[in-house]
This record gives sequence, structure tokens and C-alpha cells, in this order.
Amino acid sequence: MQVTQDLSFVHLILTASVLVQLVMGLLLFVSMMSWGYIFQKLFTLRRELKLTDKFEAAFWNSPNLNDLYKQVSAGQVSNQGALERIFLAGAVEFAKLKKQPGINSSALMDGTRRAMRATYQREMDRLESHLSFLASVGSVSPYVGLFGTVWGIMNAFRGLANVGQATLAHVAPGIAEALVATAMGLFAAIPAVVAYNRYAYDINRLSSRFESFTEEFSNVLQRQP
Amino acid sequence: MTAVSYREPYQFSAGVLALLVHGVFFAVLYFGLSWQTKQPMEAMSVELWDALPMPVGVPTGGMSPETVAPDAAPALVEPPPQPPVEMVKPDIVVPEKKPPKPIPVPQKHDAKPTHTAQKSVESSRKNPQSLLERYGIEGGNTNTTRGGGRVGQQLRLADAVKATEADRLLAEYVGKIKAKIKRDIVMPPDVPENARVEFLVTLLPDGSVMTVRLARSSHAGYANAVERAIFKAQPLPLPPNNELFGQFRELKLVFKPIE
Repeated sequence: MQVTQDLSFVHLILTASVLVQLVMGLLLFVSMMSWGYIFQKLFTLRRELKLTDKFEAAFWNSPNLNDLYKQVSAGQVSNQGALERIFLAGAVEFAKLKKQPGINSSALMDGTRRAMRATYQREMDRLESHLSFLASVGSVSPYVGLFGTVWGIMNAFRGLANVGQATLAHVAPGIAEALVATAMGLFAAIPAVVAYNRYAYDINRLSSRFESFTEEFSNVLQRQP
Repeated sequence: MTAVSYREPYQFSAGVLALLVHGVFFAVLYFGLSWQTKQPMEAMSVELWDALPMPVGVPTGGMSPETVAPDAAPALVEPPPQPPVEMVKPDIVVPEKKPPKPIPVPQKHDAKPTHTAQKSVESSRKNPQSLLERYGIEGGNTNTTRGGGRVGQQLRLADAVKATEADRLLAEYVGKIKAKIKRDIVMPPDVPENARVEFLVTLLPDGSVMTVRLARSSHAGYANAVERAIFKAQPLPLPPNNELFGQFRELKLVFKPIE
């Protein structure tokens, strides 16, 4: 390893060994992805919470379910929240089954509930997408960064073996460049872990709200004449 | 319900924000830390001495510096405690820098230079008094011309060419050291006015006194008083520049009751 005294940031990265550079590049890419997902999930979840609040209020305040159904189905699909889609799926299935002659009440309710359940699963899957990526980044990228650091330090000490009089100035650049890898790994990991925990909590709450809404909506439908 | 082809919303804004975050991160790394971009100072090397250094190019037996062969016990022959960088290897500098000695070199010395050089080193070991005197002179002490004579003048000539500034500092600090010691002298009674004592003081870099040796004394009581004063005056003032310390390691200090 060439012992260098220039410790500017760019120089540190450019003179790092190939493997450390690879690790840093990988970490940069992963970090970009994870931050992208963090923001995307942030916006998605915030929007979902807002829409859920709005629709719950509309649901409990609306005197007539038919009006609500018309209102919701008239809206654009892209503007619908997960809860609206669940409501729509249940209402559509209920209306379809109701038209069939001779269907008994329990079969009617089972079919409606199944339809809502399916939509609920799909919506949850959509909300939880990329969360596992954040979890992986949070748990793995420190190790990747550490690997780059260990490799860099190994190189630094190998360079140290070639000089007769060992001073700190001989190892310092190598260690500094190696530590950049750890810094990047932590920079990718910490927000990913925080975001993962936060979003998992948010999604959990949304999920329980969806489930309770499903039950309540089933009750309301069962009371329908 | 029809399966809607689902596309994640906010992809563009999320990507832009992620780029922004990384930009901020690297900006903080780049500007927030004061990265060291200039060459660090040359690493300080410390010499450990367990004995007094052997002088180079100052042979006792009237030998010219040229006869000190490069292979004449290089481990023993340390450079004199002077800072210049080019004097790390004594055999490089000696032939060019030293003015030739006026005394003609006897022929037999040239015949086997290695032996003579070692002999000179040994003889200088056996005679620590003369060695110390030479060192006192090499230290550039201003009032020690008497002890060294010709050799000291030569060395001082070479020094003067190199560093008059260092000499000035040296003289200044030797003055300070003597002044500080003088304050602590408790003058014994009946010291004659012409009393004169010479001390060889070995200093540590922090200004504390390692050894004090009486080199010459004309009055025992006065010498005792001065010796006590030297120890009492610790730490002695030293120039802040550590490079000059080599010249303060061995100091020859002359004291008189009236100056």
C-alpha cells in the first residue's frame, strides 16, 4: 500500500484499495435505495393514514350506505385509500351475492367477508412492500462497512510492515480511508433501522384499524334488509 | 374487484429526496470535518542516551577529520548534539564542512585509519574530563573559549555559518539560565572576589537538571552554594523550540561572585 499523507476526503476515497472502493460503492447504492424507500414509505403511509381517517369519518357519518358507495366508486382509483378499497370490495360482493336467488344469510356474509379479507391482504402486502429491504439494510450494511474497514486496516498494517520506523503517520491514512466505509455503512443502517421500526409500528396500527373496520362493516351489512 | 396495476406513488420525489440527503451527508463530511490536507511535520525522533555521546571529527590525537573512516564504529560514533538534518551520518558531512586542520597529519595514521579512529574514541572515553570540556564548548557557550581552544573555535565557525540565529537564542537562554541560578545562590561568607567555578550541567528537555558536575573550582564553599542553587533553580528556562535542545543538553556554566 502506498503510504500517503494527503487526507482530504476525495483523496481518501480515490486512493482506497479496490475492495474498499467496491464496498463503499455498494454501500452508497444501498444507502440511496434505502433512503428512497424511506421517503417513499413515509409519503405513502402518511397519505394512507390521512385517507383512512377521512374515510372512517365519512363512513360513520353517512346516513345511507348506498350514497357512500356511489360516492366512493365515483372517485378515481388512484385517490382511493386502502380502507376505501376494502369497503368497495365488500360492498360489491355483497350486492352481487344479494342478487343470487335463494342465498342464505350466512353464505352471504361469508362471501362478503372473504372478499374484504382478500382486499385487505392485498393492501397490507402493498403497504409492507420494501419494508424487508429496510430491515435487511439496517442489519447487514454495518457488517459490510465493517468488512471494508477491516480490509482497509489489514492493508494499512501490511504497508506498515514495509517501513522500518513505524509511526502513526504510516497507518493513519489507511485507517482513515477504511473508516469511511464504516461511516457509510452506519449512515445507511441507522436511518433504515429507525424507519423500519417506525413504519412497522404504523402499518401494524393501520392493519388493526382495517380489521376492525372489516368486522364493523360486516355487522352493518348483516343488519341490511 | 379488478386487479389494478399498482405503481408505487412518490417514486420521483423520494428519489430526489434521497439524493438530497446523500448530498447533505457528503457535504457535511467534506466541509464539516477539517480534513488534513497538508503534510504533517516530520515525526519527532527521540534519541536515547545512556552514555555521553562520542564526538565525531574531534579526534584527540591530532588526527585530521579525513582519517575518520566511514566504517569506524558507526554505532558508537553518534553525531554531536546539533540539530542540522544533513549531519545524521557523520561520514557524509565531515570532509566538506570542516576546514582542514593546520597540523599536518602523520603518515602512520593514514596507514590504518580504522584503528586510530577507534583508538581515539577509546581514549576520549578514558578521559571524560576532556570530553566534557569539548562538549561544553560545542554547546556554544559564550564564555568557554578558554577550555576548548582550537577545536572549539573550528566547530563554532561551522556553527556560525549555519545558524547565527540559533547562536543568538543560545546566548540569550544561557544568560537566562545563569540569571535564574544566580538568584538562588546563597552566598557563603568570605568568598574571594576572584573565585571562579565551572559546572557541567546535563539538562532534560523539560528544563530539569539531570546531573551537575563540578568541572573546575577555586573555592569549595562557593561551588557548593552554586550547586545547590542549580538544583533549586529547576526548571531552567529553555527555548520553546525543541530543535535547539541538542545544544542545551550539556551546558558549561561559569560562575563568579562578581559579574
